[in-house]
Amino acid sequence: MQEPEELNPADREFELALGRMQPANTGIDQGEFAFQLGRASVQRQVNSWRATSAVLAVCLVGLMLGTIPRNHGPVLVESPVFIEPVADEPTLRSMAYLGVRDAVLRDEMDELDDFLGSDESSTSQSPNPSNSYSAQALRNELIN
Amino acid sequence: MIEFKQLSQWFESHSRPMVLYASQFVDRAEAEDVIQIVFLRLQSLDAPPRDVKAWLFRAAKNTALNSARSRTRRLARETDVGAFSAPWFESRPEDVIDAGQARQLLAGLDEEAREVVVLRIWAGLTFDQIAELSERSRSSVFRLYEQSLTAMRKQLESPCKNLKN
Repeated sequence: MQEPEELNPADREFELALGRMQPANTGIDQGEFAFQLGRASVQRQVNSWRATSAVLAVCLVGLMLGTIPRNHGPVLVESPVFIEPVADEPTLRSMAYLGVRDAVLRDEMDELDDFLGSDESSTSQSPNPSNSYSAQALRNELIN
Repeated sequence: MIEFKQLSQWFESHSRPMVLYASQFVDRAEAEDVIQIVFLRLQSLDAPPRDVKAWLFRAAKNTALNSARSRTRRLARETDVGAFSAPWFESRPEDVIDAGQARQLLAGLDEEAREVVVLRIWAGLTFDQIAELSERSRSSVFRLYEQSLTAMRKQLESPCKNLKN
């Protein structure tokens, strides 16, 4: 750049004399400072990688959360319940059996013949499938 | 990012005048810290500034002033400038002016004049760059520079006065 201003010759000479003087050496250890510069440079690169990794991690977590199906409302869980078996209601068969049994125990086998005779007559008149257990079968069961 | 080799070259060529310049605002040890901070800041830039030399000296001044302000070392600095505790120039037999004498001459100037002289002679900045850095007009910078040189030369040419000081 052009400098239009001009110094007088005496000042110009003095300026040149001053300019020849060397500023004192710095007390900065250039090797140590070079190390600092290098370390700062590496740290900067590491920081940029850290920032990139953090952003990617956040994106990944967001993506994962976005893909997981969400359940709305309470979840109904049906747990198995153990129910004690209930004894069957006494059937006609069992009632008849018990009646005959009591009668036989009380009046011995004669009563059985009376019972069978009445039963056979009733079953012949109104055959009931539920009472298909025949008197004869009952008799055989009791005797055996 | 600025290459390490380039940084080393800049450090090699500018660190001495930068320390001399920063010594006008803070003491010598702090000036050296300031220069390291400035180069670390330069290294952190993505691209080098358009005018690296001007940037370096502007950053050195700002950092030094911040440092001086934060630590309230103004009094200590003025004491240091007058005490000549640390050399500002190399003592070499071929120099016309003695190193201590040169420092004494510089210290006799006020702060603004000293800044202009250091930036012009040892940092090698143009008057335009100095004007921008010191926020003055180019002509006022030149006038200040000329007056400062004349004052220092006259002081150097009167040895009796120097002996008194």
